[in-house]
Amino acid sequence: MNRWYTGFYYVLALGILLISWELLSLWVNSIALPSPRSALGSFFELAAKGSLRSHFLVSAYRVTASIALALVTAVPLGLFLGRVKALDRLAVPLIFLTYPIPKIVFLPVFMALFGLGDLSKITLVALIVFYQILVTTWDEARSINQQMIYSVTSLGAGERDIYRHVLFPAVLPKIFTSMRISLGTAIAVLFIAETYATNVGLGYFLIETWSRGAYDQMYAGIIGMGILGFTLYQLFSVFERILCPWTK
Amino acid sequence: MNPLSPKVEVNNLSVSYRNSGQGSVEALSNVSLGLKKGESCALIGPSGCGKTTLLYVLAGLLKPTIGQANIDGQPIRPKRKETAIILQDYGLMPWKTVWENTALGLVIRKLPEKDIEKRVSRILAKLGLEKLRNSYPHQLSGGQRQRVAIARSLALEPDLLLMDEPFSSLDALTREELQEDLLHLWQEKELTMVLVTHSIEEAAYLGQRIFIFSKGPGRVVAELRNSGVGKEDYRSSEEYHARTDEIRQILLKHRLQSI
Ligand SMILES: Nc1ncnc2c1ncn2[C@@H]1O[C@H](COP(=O)(O)OP(=O)(O)O)[C@@H](O)[C@H]1O
Ligand SMILES: [Mg+2]
Repeated sequence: MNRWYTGFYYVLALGILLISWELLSLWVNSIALPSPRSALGSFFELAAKGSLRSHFLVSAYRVTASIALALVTAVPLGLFLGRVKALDRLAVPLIFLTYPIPKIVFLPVFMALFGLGDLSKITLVALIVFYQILVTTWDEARSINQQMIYSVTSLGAGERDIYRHVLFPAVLPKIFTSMRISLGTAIAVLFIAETYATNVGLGYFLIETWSRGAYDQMYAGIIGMGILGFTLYQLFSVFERILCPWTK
Repeated sequence: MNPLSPKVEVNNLSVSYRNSGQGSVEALSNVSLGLKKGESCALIGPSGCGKTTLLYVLAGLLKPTIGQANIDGQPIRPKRKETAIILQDYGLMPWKTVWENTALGLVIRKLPEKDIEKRVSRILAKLGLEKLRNSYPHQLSGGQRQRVAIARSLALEPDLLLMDEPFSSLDALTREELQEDLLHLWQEKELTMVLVTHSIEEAAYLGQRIFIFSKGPGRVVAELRNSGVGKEDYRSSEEYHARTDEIRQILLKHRLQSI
């Protein structure tokens, strides 16, 4: 019953969005804002021809690899910093000074260091997600109740057990939240990065179609970006439901 | 009396916490107490007098600043395998099911999976928790959570059980039911047991020895013997009522009644 209602409201919301888009395009009346019908039409057309697929897959690969790289570095570090409070004196100013820097400004540096290929794009996006996850993990790990640590210590737990049975599960739901939050920024930065020195990826596709004035096709790219974000978002939610069953 | 359960001695124990700023807070001051093998003991005193601190010392989680705490004549080592402690908020992991919480100590001690399976099933059955084995702590009532905490400690087959206000947040009916169960477990397993409480009735019902603490830094201001504990229908006996009155009098005399 509940599922039906949820589904119904999703369809309703989608309807409202499409109608608003239609009205807006009628009102603006410019080729830069085609109606949803022609945008979706060109999306399906390009999708059917398969000419969007490689761009979509490359972008999906880049953003997934970035997030994976960020996870495997930020989570252990965040847990460790949260556990070893003696490091706070140094770690706090380090994070505090570097966190607010807009990481996108390092794009040229990364391209100079890591070349013009995937590596520079992946590391740049990873850096942004890394900070988000690091700060969340660290915050959550350090605020763990000492009683809980005592409680497992009294059961015989060593450091490894504390990480495994207390710290990691305690931060896991927050990691998913921060992944969802940073997803938007990650894709936005990927877009910028893909407009340079590459000939594949949705960002490249968007800019290339735009420069040709092929707005219909450009919208197909925009829809592709939207689907990429939506799919990853849903994937995170599925993983969270499987890995954090206690938060239900 | 179980010849294997330990005797506990605390001699001239003082504990201070170093504060994050300068200076330190003294939590316990010159406390001495002794428990025979298999005895049950209740610690009662105003909040902040160091009862939890004493329990942490007995569990080997904190070191004495001055003085000694011994189990069977040996200084307490951290991680003594046969000591189980139930912390004030039960210390259950919100991300583990009843089953996983109960098994946690055994998993950490790397027991063979089959043994874990057997022990945990037996204990859950004993505490009436089989049906809840896949539930998470937030899906349980306070009493059920406390049962899981007890199950988890018993899974370790301890000989010394330490409990920090285990029943204080339960309603009266559940509390009496759990006190009853605890008493039976204590008699059956012949544990040495130390229970922190702020309830006069609970101290009188469960403690063969009752230690009354002053305001912090805690000292022992009185020590009572209460040998009727565990007798049939003790709660409605003269002796029990005399004991609660006695405790109340001592608390009044020392102006500790506001606990
Ligand atoms: N980790 C700690 N750091 C500093 N002071 C503490 C700490 N834990 C307890 N104290 C202080 O020690 C005293 C005794 O605390 P506690 O043992 O928890 O008392 P009780 O359990 O009897 O309420 C209190 O004054 C408390 O503020
Ligand atoms: Mg306490």
